[in-house]
Amino acid sequence: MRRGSSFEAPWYDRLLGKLTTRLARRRPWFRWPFFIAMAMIVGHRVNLRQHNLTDTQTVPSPAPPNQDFDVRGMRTADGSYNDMSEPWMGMAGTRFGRNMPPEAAFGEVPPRLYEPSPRLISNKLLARREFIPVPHLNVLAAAWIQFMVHDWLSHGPNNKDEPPHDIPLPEGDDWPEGKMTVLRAHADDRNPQDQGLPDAYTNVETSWWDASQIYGSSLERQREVRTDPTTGAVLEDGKLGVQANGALPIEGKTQHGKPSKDLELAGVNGNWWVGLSVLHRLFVHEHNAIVDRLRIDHPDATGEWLFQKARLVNAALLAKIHTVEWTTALMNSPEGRMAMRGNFWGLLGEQYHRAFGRVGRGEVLSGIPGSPADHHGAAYAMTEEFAAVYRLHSLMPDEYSFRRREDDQELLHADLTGVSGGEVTQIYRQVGFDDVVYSLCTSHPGALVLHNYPNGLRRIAHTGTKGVFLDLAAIDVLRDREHGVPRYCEFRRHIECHAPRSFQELTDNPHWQRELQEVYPSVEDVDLLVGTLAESQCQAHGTPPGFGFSDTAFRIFILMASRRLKSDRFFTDDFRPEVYTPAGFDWIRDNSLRTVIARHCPQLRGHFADVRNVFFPWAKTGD
Amino acid sequence: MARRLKLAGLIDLLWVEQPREILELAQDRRLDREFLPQGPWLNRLLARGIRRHLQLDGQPLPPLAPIGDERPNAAQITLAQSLEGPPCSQADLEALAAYVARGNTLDGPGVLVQGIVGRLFNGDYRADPQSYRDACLLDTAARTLNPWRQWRWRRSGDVDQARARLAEKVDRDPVALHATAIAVHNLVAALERMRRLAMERPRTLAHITPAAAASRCLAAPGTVLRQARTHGNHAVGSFAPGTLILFRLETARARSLRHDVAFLTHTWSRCPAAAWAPRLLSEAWRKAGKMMPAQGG
Repeated sequence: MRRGSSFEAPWYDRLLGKLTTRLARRRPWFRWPFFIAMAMIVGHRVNLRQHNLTDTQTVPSPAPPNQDFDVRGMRTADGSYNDMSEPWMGMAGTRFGRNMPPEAAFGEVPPRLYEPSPRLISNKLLARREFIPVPHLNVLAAAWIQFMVHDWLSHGPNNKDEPPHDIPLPEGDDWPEGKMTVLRAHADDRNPQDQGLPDAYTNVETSWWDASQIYGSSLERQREVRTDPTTGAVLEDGKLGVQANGALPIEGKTQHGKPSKDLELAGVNGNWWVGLSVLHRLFVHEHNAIVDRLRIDHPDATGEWLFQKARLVNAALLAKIHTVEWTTALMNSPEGRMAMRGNFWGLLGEQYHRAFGRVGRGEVLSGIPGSPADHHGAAYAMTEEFAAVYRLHSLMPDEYSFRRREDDQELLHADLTGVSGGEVTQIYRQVGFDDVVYSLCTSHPGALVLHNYPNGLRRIAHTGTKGVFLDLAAIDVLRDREHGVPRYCEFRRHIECHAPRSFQELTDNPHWQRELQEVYPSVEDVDLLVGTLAESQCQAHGTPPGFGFSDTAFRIFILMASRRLKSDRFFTDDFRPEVYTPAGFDWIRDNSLRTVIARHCPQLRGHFADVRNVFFPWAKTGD
Repeated sequence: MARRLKLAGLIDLLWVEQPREILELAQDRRLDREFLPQGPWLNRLLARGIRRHLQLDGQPLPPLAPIGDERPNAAQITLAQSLEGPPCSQADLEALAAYVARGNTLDGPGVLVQGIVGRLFNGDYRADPQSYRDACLLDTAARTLNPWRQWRWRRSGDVDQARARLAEKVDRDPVALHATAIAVHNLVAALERMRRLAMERPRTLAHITPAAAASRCLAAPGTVLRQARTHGNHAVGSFAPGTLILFRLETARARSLRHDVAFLTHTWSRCPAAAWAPRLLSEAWRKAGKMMPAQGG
């Protein structure tokens, strides 16, 4: 295990970090003027890189033999060989890292594990009373983050070998059969080097930003998505399989083998719903468009070569869209936009970058892509804390209205269950793809606040087991405790955030203060998820103005969003035309989600022509 | 990441604090603990100081012995086996727990812990403030890199007298001398941390499991030394005969929390108390938790 505190930043970075720490003691970064706030964001990142990166892989997994695969110029299916000196790094099946020091990362055990009851929290603090929308975003923004999370991480199946958790039910709870059991999380096997350490959990997906949600995290899965659904043979032209009508192939089961009627095929097709389906379909078609473009310059290239190069380009395009479009929509403030665009283009900006290219190799002036790779002292991996702050289920609406784009007339109304799993295929039978995209992009996601957790996710019928239900809100709370993610106040202390000393400091909303007090014995006991939602209404230390998510999440975000790029060889040392091909490199530079949607849904162009960001609500017909 | 201090002919020190690098170098047989007077002038001085303080009757204390042919050696194996039972008596455990839960020892747990460690070797061992002060002096003398202090101690003979008094208490058993004079301080530091942790918030004792508390509070020696026997290279830097390599063990342990780093478990110089010390700390925490039932919810 290595921890980032061994990483030593240059003196000027350390100085900035120290100044930031001092300034942050007076007030948080977003309450300082713009230029100081920007410097503080960079300073916080320096400090987080130094103190908040822990590698838990005490015994590195052996990397598979690379056979004849060009690991230098292409991404392997399982994510190995991204770091050539430590080929196991970030590959599927390696452990989650941590953003907390190891001593703060021990999983909770009973009775603390069940106190207060996660179900009580779900009922009293999370359950949606009425839908609270985010007026400046569309539902594609909610789908997008799940699309990305499926690329980065999954804890995989739970532990069926040990007795499940028996979650205490509050008095009068109407939970079916009066008993709530939840399978335990599956900790990785311990080895002698783990003595003294908290349990670690494995990421069954690759940790890299490699579009594994589309392509899968194994060669076997990759072959499946490359298979022509009509012939059953792997496509020799390097393209991904689609049906004749452009829809994704039907798999009829999840990637873990659970039967699910009419479920579409994707690299990752768990927790499937219509928003995911739309994005998968768009980027499967984008892959095929990239293959067509590359073939013009490389007519003699094999299908395998075209596939792998198109994957590189598609993954980089996704990373770019996420960095400069999605995050700037969620962090809709001058500082948020500057910080995230700066991650990709640098402080000199996109126009300068296009005109003159990079200035030096540093990441500040010209952005992370193309700068040297750096793991900052800890082997790259997704982290438990990152997974925890990305529990953004409140973004999901409970009700969906599918309307015809020509006249905005409703064609279908469905609840969450009706847009999930194999039901998506049923929707496409009644509503055209363009109309589905139009409908999602003219609807709002839910706000990340208390009392806005979709009720549809608080009682999910368990796939394949009749009469068994899940409360995802309760499970979200339970998993953080089980994985050893510190509770809200302690979590904030570890990331240079002010830790509230009372419920009054946690949130300005007097109703929430009272409700929190009824559930938790003290503010120190507040769970991370609950705290991040409650701080949405706290002016002094809570969610920054214009932001769609908490400052707590943002701190992990500025560390990990940069790290996903900075650690990845294909975004740093090998982010160059020689690896991506000149046409592929230009494709990344010249495209965005706007051009992707325009290419594959040209009829919809008019609806987003006037929006600054395609994750903002589109114009409805008749507006 | 390693730090280097090298002035030709004067000094050559290499500090290592990355857990992985420490574990690699601790396995490296080009490095030893013989502390021969070789290398630059200050290195010789330091090596002489170590040999002078950490010896008994002219022989180096066993935990500081060079690699030798047989590792782990017989004394290490015997000691490790003798530590497999209950970590200490019930009375001692209760005293430790009372310290953790209530901090009811005015001068810290030093004398208490020295007594517990001493009784592992001699059932009648009785620690007192003087014996603990002697242990602190011997430990400081063995760790200091300050040649001026070394010179003063040599002139005064304070360290030699302290060692003689401590040795008498354990029948001149060199293993026991090392345990009661040097290793004891890590345990004291661990218990002081444990007490601070328990005092942070009243419910901490109930919220943190004994194993987690032991891991959080465990203390490794601040620095463990090796001396290069030959010329060589490693990712942290090159070395020559006489180069002193300082493993910053506590920094590495705090960074990684790994017990195998704290005790160098999988190396030839592993600590025989690798299982005993965490067990003692866990038991003390568990017992302390039971002493505070009203606040334990």
